[in-house]
Amino acid sequence: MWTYRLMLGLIAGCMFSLPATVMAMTVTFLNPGRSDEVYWVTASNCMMAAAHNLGMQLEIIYVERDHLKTLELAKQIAVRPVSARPDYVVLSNDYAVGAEAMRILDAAHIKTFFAYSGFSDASERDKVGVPRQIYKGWLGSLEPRAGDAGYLTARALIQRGLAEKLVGADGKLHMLAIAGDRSTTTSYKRNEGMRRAVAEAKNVVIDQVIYGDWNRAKAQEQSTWLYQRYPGTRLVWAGNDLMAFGAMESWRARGGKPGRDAYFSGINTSSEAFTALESGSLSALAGGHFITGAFSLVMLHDYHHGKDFADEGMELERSMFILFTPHEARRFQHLFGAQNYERLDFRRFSKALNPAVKKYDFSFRQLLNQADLRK
Amino acid sequence: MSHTALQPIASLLIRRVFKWVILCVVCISSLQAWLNYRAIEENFDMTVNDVARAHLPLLSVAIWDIEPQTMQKQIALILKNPSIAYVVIKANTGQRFTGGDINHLVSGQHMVFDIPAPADASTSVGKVEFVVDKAVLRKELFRSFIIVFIEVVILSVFIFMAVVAILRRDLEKPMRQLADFVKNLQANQLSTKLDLQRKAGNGYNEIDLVVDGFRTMQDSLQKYIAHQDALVAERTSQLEAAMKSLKQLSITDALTACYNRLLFNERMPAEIQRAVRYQRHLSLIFCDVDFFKKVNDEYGHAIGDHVLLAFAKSLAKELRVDVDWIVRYGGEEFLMVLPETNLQAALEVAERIRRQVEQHLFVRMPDGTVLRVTASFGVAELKVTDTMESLVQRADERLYVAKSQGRNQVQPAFEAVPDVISKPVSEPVSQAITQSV
Repeated sequence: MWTYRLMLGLIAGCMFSLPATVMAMTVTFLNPGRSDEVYWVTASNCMMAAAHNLGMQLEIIYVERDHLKTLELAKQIAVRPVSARPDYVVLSNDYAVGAEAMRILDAAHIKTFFAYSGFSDASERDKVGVPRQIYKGWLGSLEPRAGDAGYLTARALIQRGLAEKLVGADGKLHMLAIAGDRSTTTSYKRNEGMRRAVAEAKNVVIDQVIYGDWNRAKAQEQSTWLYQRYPGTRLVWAGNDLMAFGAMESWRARGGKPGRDAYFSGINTSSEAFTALESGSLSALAGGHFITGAFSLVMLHDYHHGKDFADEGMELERSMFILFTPHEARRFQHLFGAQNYERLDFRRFSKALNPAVKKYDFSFRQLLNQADLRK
Repeated sequence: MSHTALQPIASLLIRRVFKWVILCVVCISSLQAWLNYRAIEENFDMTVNDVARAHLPLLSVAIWDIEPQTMQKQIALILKNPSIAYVVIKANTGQRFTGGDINHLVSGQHMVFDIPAPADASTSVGKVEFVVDKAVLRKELFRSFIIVFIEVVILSVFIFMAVVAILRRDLEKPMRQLADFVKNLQANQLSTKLDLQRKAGNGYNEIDLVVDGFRTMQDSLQKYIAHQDALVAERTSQLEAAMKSLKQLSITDALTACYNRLLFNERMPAEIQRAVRYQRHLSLIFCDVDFFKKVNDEYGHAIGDHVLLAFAKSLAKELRVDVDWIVRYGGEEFLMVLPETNLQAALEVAERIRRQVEQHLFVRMPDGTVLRVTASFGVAELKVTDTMESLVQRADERLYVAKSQGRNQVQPAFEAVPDVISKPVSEPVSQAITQSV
C-alpha cells in the first residue's frame, strides 16, 4: 500500500519539479499517519504544494501509524543507491522512534529534520543531544506550539460556559476533558494548554480527564459513562475533532443538543469540524498546525540555498494554531475545501528568496489572510 | 476318614487380610480425600479472594478511566484462574462487561466484590461478580481421592504379597511336606528322618517346634518298638524250649528216657519203608525183664523202677549210638530197632545184652542185698512182606517162645534153624536174688 503511495509521491514530485532547476533538492517525508487520515493527508497535500512552489522534489511515505515501520523505512532509505537517496528526510518523532530513525539515516549521511514532533522527553534528549552535535546530519526541528491549541479551545469553551451561566451548585464551572493519549508530546502539550486555561479561569474544575486515543468511537463510549457519572456537567473539551464528534454523538443519543444544552470544543481543520463550527454544535475549534510540514520545507529550502536557520534557532517552536471564528472557518473551506493548497505562496516566507525577512512568521492566520493569494 | 475340603489357613488369612485391607483403603482414602477437600475448599475461597484483591485496583482504574478494552483484558486475565468460570463487571454508570462460560451463571457460586474508586476508596465505581466453578473443586476432590486410593492400594498390595509369600514359604509348604511325610511313613521306616526343604536363614519358628516334637515322638516310638521286639524274641525262645521239652516228653518214656510207643508207631513205618526201598537189613529185638511182676509185687514199685532204669541202661550200652534205638513198648517190654543189621547180627547183639544183664545188672536194695534179674529176647528180621505189626508180632512170638522155653534166652524168628542159639537155662528169680552180694 505504502509503496503505491510512494510511487505516486515520486511521480507527483517529478512532475512538479520539472519546471524548476534540473538538479532540484530532494526531500522525503515519513508521514506518521494513515493515508486516509484527514489531518495527515492535509499535511501531505500542503507540503506537496509548498515543495512545488519552492521547486523541490518531495517524496511522501505513509507509516500508517505502525511506529516500528518508521525504522524499517529509514533502513530502506539508507540502503538506497546514492543517486536515489534524498538530500533530506523529514521525520516526526511519534511514539519515540524518531531518535533511532535519525541514527540510521545519519549513519548513511542523509540529513534529517523533525517536523510536528521533536524531542521533549528528558531521557530521549540525553541520547540525541542538540542538532548537529551527536548527529551531524540532524539539522533541526519545527514544532507547532501544541499547548496553544489546548489553551485556545479551553479558554473559548470556558467563556462560553460562563456566558451560558452553567455554574453548578458549588459555584464552579464543571468541565470534562477527553484527551488523546498518555504518551505523545502533542497530547501532553494540548492537555497542558487546556489546564493553563482552566487555571487562569480560577472558578473552573475539571471533573475528569480520560484518554480516548484520538478515537471517535472510544470517545463516544467513554462520554456515555462520563455523562452518567457527572450528570450536571455541560462542558466537554476534546483533544481533537474526532473525539469531540464522538462525545457529541453520545450526547445526542441521550436526547441532548450539542451547542444548545452542552458545549464542545475540538482541534483540527477537517471539513466536518468547520461545518460543525458553522452550525454551532461545535463551540470552539482550533487548527492550522498541519502547515508545520510546509513551513519545514521553507526552512530546508533556505538551508539548502545557503541561508541557514541556525541563527534563529535550530529547534523552533511556533504558534501555528488559530482559534477559528465562523468567518475564518468559511474562508478556510472556501480556500482549501478541495484540499488544494497550490494557491498559497510559500516563497514569501523564505529568507533566501526575501532578504528582507529577518524572522520567520509561520502563523496560519497570516496564511489564511494572505491578501495576495496566487491566482 | 472324612473328606472335608481342605481350607488352608493361608487362604483364610489372605481372605481376611484382603477384606480388612479393602476396608482400610476405602476408609483412609475417604478420610484423606475429605481432609484434602476441606483444605482445598479453604484455599479455594482464599484464591478467589486473592484474585479479586489483585484485580480490583486495576479494574477500578479501568472503570474510572473508562477503558473498556482494558476491562476485557482484565476479565480474560481473571478467567485464567480455573476456579472462576464467569465474570461480570457492572459499572455504577450501568455498563456491563462479561466474560467466561455463561452456563455456570445459574449453577455456580456467586462472589461479589465492590470496586472502589481509585482516588477515594470509600466510594464505589462498580461491582465485580465472580461465578465460581465448583466443578474444579470436585475435580480436585476426585483427583486427591484417586491419588490416596492408589497409594493405599499399592501399599496394601505389597503388604498382601509379603503376607502371602511368608505364609506360603513358612507355613503352607512345610506343613504340606510334614503332612505328606506322615502320610507316607511306613511302620518299618519309622526311623526315616523328617527333613523339611526350607530356605536357610530362617529363625527357629513354630514349624521347627512341630518338627522337633515329631522327631522326639519318632525316637520314643522307635525305642518302644525295639523293646517290644526283644520281649517277643525272649518269649519265643522260652516257648520254643517249652515246646521242645514237651515234644521230648511226648516221645520219651519218663522213667527210662527210652522212646515210647507213640514215637515207635510214628517212626517205625518210615524205618521199614527205607529198608525195603534200599533193600537193607532191619532187625527188631523184643525183650522183657523176666519175672518183673514178681519184683514189683515183692519189693515195691520203686525198686521196680530202679530195675527198669538199670535194664534200659544195659540195653543202651550194647547198641550203636545214633543208629539203633530203644523203645519202652509197655511195662517191662522193650523194643530195639537195629537198622542195617541182619538176623544173625541181631541175635549176637541180643545175646550180648542177655549176658550183660545176666552178669552185670543188679540193683542194690535198701537193706543191702542185691537184686539180680534176667531178660528174654525175641529177634526178628524184616521181610519184604512185613508190616510193622507183622514184624513186631513175629518178634513178640519169639519172645513168647523164649519165655515159654525158660526165659533168659534169645529166640530167633526163623523156622529153619530153630533154637540155634537158644539157651535152655531157666532159673527162678529167687535164685538170682540169693546170689546177690
